[in-house]
Amino acid sequence: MALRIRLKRLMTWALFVSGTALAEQPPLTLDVVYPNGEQQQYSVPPGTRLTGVIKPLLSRAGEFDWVASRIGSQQLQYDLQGMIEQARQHLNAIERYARGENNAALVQAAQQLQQQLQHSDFYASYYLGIPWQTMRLQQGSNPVLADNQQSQHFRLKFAQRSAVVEWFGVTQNPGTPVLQSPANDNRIQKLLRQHPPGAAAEPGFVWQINSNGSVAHRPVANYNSHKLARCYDHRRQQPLALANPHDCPVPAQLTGGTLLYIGLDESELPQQLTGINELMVRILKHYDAAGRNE
Amino acid sequence: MSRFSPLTRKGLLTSGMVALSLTGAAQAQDIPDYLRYEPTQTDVGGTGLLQMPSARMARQGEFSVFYYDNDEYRRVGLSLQLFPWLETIIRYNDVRTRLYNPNPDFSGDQTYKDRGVDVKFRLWEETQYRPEVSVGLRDFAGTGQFSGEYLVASKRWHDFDFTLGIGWGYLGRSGNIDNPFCKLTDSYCERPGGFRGEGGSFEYDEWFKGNAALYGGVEWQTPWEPLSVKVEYDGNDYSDESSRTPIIQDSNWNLGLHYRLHEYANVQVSFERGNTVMFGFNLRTNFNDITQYKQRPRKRLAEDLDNTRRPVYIDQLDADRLAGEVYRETGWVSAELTIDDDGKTLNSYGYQTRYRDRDESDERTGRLLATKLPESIEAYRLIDAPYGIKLRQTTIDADKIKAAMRAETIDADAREAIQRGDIDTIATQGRQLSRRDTDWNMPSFSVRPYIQQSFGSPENFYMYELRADAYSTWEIKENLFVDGRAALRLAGNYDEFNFLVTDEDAPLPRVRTFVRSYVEFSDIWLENLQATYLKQLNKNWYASVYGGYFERMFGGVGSEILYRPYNQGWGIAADINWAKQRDFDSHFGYRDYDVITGHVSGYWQPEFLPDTMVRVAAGRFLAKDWGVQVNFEHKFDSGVIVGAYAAKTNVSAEDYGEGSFTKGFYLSLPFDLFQIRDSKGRATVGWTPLTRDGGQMLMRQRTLFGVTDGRDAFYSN
Repeated sequence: MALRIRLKRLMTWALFVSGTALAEQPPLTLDVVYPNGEQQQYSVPPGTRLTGVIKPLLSRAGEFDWVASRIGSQQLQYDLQGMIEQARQHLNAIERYARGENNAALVQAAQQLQQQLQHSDFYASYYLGIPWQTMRLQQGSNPVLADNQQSQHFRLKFAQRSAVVEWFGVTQNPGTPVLQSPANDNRIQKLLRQHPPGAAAEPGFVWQINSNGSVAHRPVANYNSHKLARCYDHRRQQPLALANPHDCPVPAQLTGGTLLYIGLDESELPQQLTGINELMVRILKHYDAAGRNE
Repeated sequence: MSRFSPLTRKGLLTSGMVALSLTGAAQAQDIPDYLRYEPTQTDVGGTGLLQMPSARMARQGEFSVFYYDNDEYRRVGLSLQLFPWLETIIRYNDVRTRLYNPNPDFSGDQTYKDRGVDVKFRLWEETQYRPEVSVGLRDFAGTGQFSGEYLVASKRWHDFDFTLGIGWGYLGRSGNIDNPFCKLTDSYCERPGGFRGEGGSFEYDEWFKGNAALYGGVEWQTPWEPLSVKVEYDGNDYSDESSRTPIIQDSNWNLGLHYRLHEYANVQVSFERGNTVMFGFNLRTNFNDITQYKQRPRKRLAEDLDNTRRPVYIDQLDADRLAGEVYRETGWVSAELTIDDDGKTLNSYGYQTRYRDRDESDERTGRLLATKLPESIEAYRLIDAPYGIKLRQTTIDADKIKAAMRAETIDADAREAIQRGDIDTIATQGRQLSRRDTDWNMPSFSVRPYIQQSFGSPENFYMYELRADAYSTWEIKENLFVDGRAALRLAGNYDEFNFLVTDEDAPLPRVRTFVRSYVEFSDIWLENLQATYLKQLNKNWYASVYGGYFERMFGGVGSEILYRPYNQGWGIAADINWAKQRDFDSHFGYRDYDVITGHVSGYWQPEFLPDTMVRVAAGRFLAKDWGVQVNFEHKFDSGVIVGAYAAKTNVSAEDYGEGSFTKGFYLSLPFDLFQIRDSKGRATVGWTPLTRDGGQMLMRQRTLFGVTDGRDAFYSN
């Protein structure tokens, strides 16, 4: 999904020229989105480090929730758009296959995922949560506002931490993602009883996508819920990948901002159509719950 | 443990419960959540109920040392979840009611030890409606006295884990059902008795034959996290026991409590056969999870890059000093530094001595070189050339690693700057900047403790030799090495080794069974002194010639050739040796026995078994017997390697003696798991059931497969 930027102001970031900025390079464009939806566009000299970008905004620090804040670029967003398109084609192929097999449940599941992709916002981000404290202390954690794809357009988005658990995937409630209010008891087993997986869902497992981009493919059935999940980290160096696979325990209680993805049962798919769940999860890491409000 | 009156039983169980309660109150908080429902161990090792196995598999890498005890038997062993679908167990059953050998001159008063090996394969994983199903063989390669087979299913329902299985042999001795295979063919109605040869063979002609019994039970994970309760219906009636004493079964039902004392320790108390209390414990870890904090110097950062004076031109570089700095900071020995003709790539021919994690060491080396070399150098090429043999190269993009150090982009990644691949050529590239002079190298010396051990020998269950070994390596010229090792015996009991066959009566030349003679001769001896010349013929071919005292028992000369393509996961080698048996009555002399021995060896890392190395060597062994040795190794995430080997030659089981053929297991443990400093070293702990003369290979220094490990980096990374 393309960035939907409403320009309000254009400011020059002249005060924050760093020593390494190269005068002959054109300035970068930075869109700053505040938690209240207000947006401003700035011009930032090349070579400016992230702390140099953020410091002038600290007068509004009370509005910031670093954990829920993100930084991305237009080029990364293009890459994510490519992945989304790939997922749509993949789902189309699954749907065609399912029709050929007269598998109505699988047809419905593929359509459900297509609809959810279509009605959701995604914002590709290097940082899912800004480590402001460490950023101020170490240069290695305080990179220049630039990426290897030589993007000219970046976006810094401040948001409030979500208080709800959201659902995506093959549920018995087709349509857009289900909003789950943050009840006192957010145990995953209870939530699954409220929103049971659909007939073509991956049995026994759900993907838990945390707000910091870490992912857990967690067992949730009676027979396997005690086992360790397969977990992945988010790395800003590979923001669209699932990095560092490892086994990890996951708590039964879910916290606000968690996105649950109920995948397709890939055991019913031919080999060339498998892999859709992992692709979906790589996209869903960049799910933008607040995007709908912009 | 003795049978008790009802009152005594009740008292003992109550005491046990109280003890568990008290310890539990203090310790339960130490148990991580993920262990709560992990499969627990049986009384005989392996996942399951009490006597009976379940279909459950532990997490891959789970390793337990267990001990269980009752009046007739003591059981001690190791259980390892080698793959997610394969559980393996080795076990000693100490039969307390029998002597090892009726002849006290042979085994003294040692009680009979029965070795056993179990395997369990998972056939189906559990799903919502289908149980987990496994098939297993218990004690399948021993004397068969406890051997049994089973097919079992387990299904969890909330906190209850139900198991239902059918057992044969020891597990199905009660015969409470008809053997289903007996209905298919009569040959399955009776189970042949005894064992082939001298024990230790696969008694496959007995499997799934004779009496069969249904068994089952349930394990309940109580709301109190450390405690689970087990109830089982036993398939064995204990009517024919190795103890040769009557074992009375008052009830088929067994009841047990499993208690997790700690993350790494469990105890199990059970009341079995309606009259017997069993007690045991096991210590666990997981070979995939073991980690160790590392005290490392900080990595070079942007500040070092910007605040260090660097030469403008490469000729201004003090290359010898740079090589020294690189070694001190990163452990990389730069034996030779060169610069490509275009002046853009610095080549360092050397080897890593400190870090087992090559990604870590290469990143550190790249960061350091970035702070020391002129801006004109665009790439740093580290060529792994241990012993002068060029194995692989790591190319570090200078701009990328500097960009990562300076964090010039959000997604800059130092590891992205590092590319590893095959060498371009075996010739040294570029203009020489520095070279470590080997012409007048002095030998290096070190002293390390060493323990040699074997378990289950008739003379003494545990035979060992604790030594202080002095090692020396002398690199006389590039590719020419002399390795020596002198041993000082500190303690041991190999002088009890008692092979009661004279030379004349021995069916095989005595190539390994003179252990006692070697031990008794002297407490200090020359273990080996071998000169080796290594030669790289081209990128994939390697050769060596060597001679001297190969090992404590043999010396001679030999040669080896190896073909090993880069990163393909396979290789093939051939070696031939003239070996002469060393004298045990003098330090440097030889006995009359000599042999031409050698093997063709294939090495393979199968794609369908990740992190696994299979080695097959076919040829002539030390006792002039012909055959094959198969070696299997699996490496876990922590770097721990578990290996097993077996050699089968044209020597009959009778001529071989007890055990029927040579076999053994070993653990290779990275040093750095036990210390906060990085290290590339490994310690090997072996388990060799018996030492006999058949299927024995020459142990020589610097095998080509070991020297060229960098081609596949199985052991060194």
